[in-house]
Amino acid sequence: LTCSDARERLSALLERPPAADAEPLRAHVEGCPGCRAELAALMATDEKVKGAVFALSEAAPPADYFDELAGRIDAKLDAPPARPPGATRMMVGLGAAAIMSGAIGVVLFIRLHEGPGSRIDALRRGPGGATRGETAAPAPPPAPPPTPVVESKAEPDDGRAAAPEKPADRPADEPEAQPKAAAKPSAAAPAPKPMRAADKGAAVETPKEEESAEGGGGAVSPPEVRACWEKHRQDGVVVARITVDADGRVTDVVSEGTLAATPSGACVAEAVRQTRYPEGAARTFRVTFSLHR
Amino acid sequence: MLAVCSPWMTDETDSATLVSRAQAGDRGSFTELVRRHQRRAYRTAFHVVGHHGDADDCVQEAFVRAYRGLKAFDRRADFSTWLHRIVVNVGLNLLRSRKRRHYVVAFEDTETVARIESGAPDPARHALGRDELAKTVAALGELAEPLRVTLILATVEEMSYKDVAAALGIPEGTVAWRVNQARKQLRGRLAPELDEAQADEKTLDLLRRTRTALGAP
Repeated sequence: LTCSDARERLSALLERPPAADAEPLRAHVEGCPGCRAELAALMATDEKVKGAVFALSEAAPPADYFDELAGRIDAKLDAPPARPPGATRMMVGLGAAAIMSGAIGVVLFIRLHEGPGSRIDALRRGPGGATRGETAAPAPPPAPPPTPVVESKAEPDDGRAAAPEKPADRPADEPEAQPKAAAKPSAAAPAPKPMRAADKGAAVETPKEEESAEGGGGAVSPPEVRACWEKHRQDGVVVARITVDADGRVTDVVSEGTLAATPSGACVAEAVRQTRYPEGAARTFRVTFSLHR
Repeated sequence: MLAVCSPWMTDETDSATLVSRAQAGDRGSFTELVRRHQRRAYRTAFHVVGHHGDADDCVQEAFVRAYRGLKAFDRRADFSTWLHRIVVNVGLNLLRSRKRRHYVVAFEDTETVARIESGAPDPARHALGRDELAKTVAALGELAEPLRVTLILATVEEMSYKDVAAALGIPEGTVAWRVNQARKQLRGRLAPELDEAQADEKTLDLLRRTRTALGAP
C-alpha cells in the first residue's frame, strides 16, 4: 500500500463500523506519520462539521418550541390523513408521461382507481381547498440532443428549473413512480413542449429558455467540459447553478442533474469555477451541460 | 387528549410499555413518546433539511406517520431507531421537493445566529468560534446537496453506510464515494489547523479502536 493509495482511502477509517477490509490501510496509517497527519485533518474537518451543525440545530428552534410540539402533533392526529409528500409530483409525472406517450388510457386508469377517500381525493380536499394550484410542478428540462458531446444551455435561475433526479435517489420505502421518459432524457423521447395536463388542471411547463449558449453572457469553455467527459466517460446531465459577482468572478457553483454527485459533476463544477464571466451585475443563472458520446 | 390525562402513567413508565399502550390505541401514551423523542427527532430533521421551518414540518409529519404506522411496528428495532428512520425519510422527501439551499440560508437567519452568539442554550457544547462557525456553515452550503446530505447522515447522524445507502436508495459504494468526496472538499476549504501532538494522540486512539472493531490481532 503506497501513501497516495492510503490517502485516497482514509475515509474508510472514519466509517462506522469500519469497513471489513480496512485492516491493511489501518496498519499502514499507524506506521506512517504523514498519513496520520492527513487523517487528523479529516477528523478535525468532521469535528468542525459536527460542531457547526449541532450549533445550528440547537439554536434554531424558538424557546417555547418543545413545550408546544406534542400538543400540535396531538391535534394533527385528529385531522384526516394528509397526502404523502411526493404524491403531487407523482401524479403530474404520470400525467406528463401519459401525454407524452399519447397513452390516454393511463389517465383513465388512474381516474378509475381513485375511489372516494383515496390519497388523491384527500389531496383535492386538502386544508383550505387550495390544493389545485399545488399540482403545478416544473417538468424536467427539455431532453438534451443526443449527438454532440457537450451541449450547454443557460437559463435565469428563477427557482423553477428542477433538474431531473436520479431515480435511484428515492428512499427505499417510498418508491416514486418517476416515468422513465422524465427521469432519463433519451434520444427516443422528444423534448417536452410546454403543455397543460388535461386532468386536474395541472400545469406542466418546461423552464423558460433564454437561449444563450454562453451561459449568462459569459464564456463557459466547452473544451474543458468536454475534457470532463473524455476523462470520466459518463453520459448524463449536469445543471450548474452559477453565481457570479459584479466583477464576473464565479463565487458559487452548485451542480444538480444526473451527474451531480459523480466525478463528472465535480469536474464540470471545477471547470465552471475557473471561468471568468463579463463584468456587470452580480447574478445567478443555470447552465445545463449534456455530456454524451 | 394529552399525556396529563392519563393518571396511570408516570415519568418512570418505560418506553416499551408506552409503545405497547400506544399500539393498543392509547393516545396519551403516544403523546408521551412524542415528548421523550421530540428533541432528537427535531435535531435529526434539522440536520437533514437545514432550516427550522422545514425541520418543524418534517418532525410533525414524521410523528404523524409513526402514529399511523405504529401497528406495523414489529419492535425488532428500538422505537427510537424506527422513528429515526422515518424522520430521515420524511426529511429527504422534503429536501427533494424544495429546491432551496438551506445551509446557506440557515446562517442568514439572524435570530438563530443571535442565539448562537449569545451562547444559548449552551456555549460549552460547541467549541467553534463565530468566524469558524460561519466558515463551516458556508462550506457546507457550497457542497452539492447529495454530497452534503450523505456526509451529514454518515458523520453527524452516525448512520452506517448500509443504512445511509438504504435511506437514499443508492449503493453503499456510492455512499463511500460521496462521503470521501465531501470530506476532501471541506478539508480543502476549511484547512483545519492542528496541534500536532494532540492530533497524533487522537488518530492513534482512533486506529487502536478500529483495530479492536476489526478484530485484528
